[in-house]
Amino acid sequence: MITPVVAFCCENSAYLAADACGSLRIGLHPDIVMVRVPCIGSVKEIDILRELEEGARGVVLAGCHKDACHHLQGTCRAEKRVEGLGALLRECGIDSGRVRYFAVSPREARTFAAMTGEFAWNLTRGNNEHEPGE
Amino acid sequence: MIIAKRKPLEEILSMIEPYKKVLVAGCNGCVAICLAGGEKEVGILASALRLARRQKKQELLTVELTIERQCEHEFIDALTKPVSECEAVISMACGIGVQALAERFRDRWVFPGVNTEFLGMPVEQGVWNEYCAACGNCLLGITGGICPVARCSKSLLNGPCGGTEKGKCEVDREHIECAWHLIYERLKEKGRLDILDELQKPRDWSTSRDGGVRRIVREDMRL
Repeated sequence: MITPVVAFCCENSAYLAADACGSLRIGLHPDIVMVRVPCIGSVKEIDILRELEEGARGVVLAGCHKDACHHLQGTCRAEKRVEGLGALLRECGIDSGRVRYFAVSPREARTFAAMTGEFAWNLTRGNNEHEPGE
Repeated sequence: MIIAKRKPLEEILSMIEPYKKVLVAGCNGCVAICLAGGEKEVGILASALRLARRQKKQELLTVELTIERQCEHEFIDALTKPVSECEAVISMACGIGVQALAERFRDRWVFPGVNTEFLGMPVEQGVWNEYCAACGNCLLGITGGICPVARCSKSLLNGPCGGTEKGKCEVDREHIECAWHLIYERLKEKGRLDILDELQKPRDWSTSRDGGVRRIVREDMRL
């Protein structure tokens, strides 16, 4: 069973990069499901946990570069949250690598495609499909 | 305020192991402000517990509810129905709240979801320091507003020990400041170093934990 990889995308950077993939005919991994957010710092821990509970294979948070966050500290907050959540997931017995954060600018369409694709691919490498919520 | 910290997940899981449906009860008081047991933390813990149980191929149903404070019975009323629908309760409140729930809901086991650590305040976002030991005999008036009972690692009352160095405490030179260094500097700033020369009576520690379980009665407030 194919399970989605949810990508929370900041509308000021990653979402624009993803949009540019379309214009540039750059393919995105078919399992990626994008969620547009006003700032990656608005994505809370519970949002990520719920996606995992609903069956997401992995969750990626894609936002602005550190010095380019439109909301000043959203990027820093998101990074810290992913780090903290990693520790909690390990306590749950879940691979913390299933949640990841990375930064892109609106012009980095290829980077966005490569990083989300690599993330999704690594989660399925070796046919280790995760059962929902596993 | 009371500062608490969530218990390790493994410990909480072992406490609720026999149960299939639990109430995770939060508190909007001190534990919410120190980001340990408020509504947000209740949601995160409940989700983490469900995920952890699923890893072991076991199901867990959770009910989540956060009330204003778990240390007053009028507020605890709101938990009556959810508690009756669950097999056990994880209280994210401080030790007072856990005990209040346990006293009220005798036919349910109430487990602590956090460790109550100390009385303190945030010194910067994400960092809380101990400021008060609830000793019942406040001497902040003669120490310039810095408590040697809580903020000196040894609770010394006559000045620093020999372990003070460059304003730091020997117990943890990186994170703990020498309280008596702070007191000296504060009194100096206020031009009241003369206070340190005043003889103080031997302290009455009976108002602290040393005197046993404490109680306050306000007859004028009793109905």
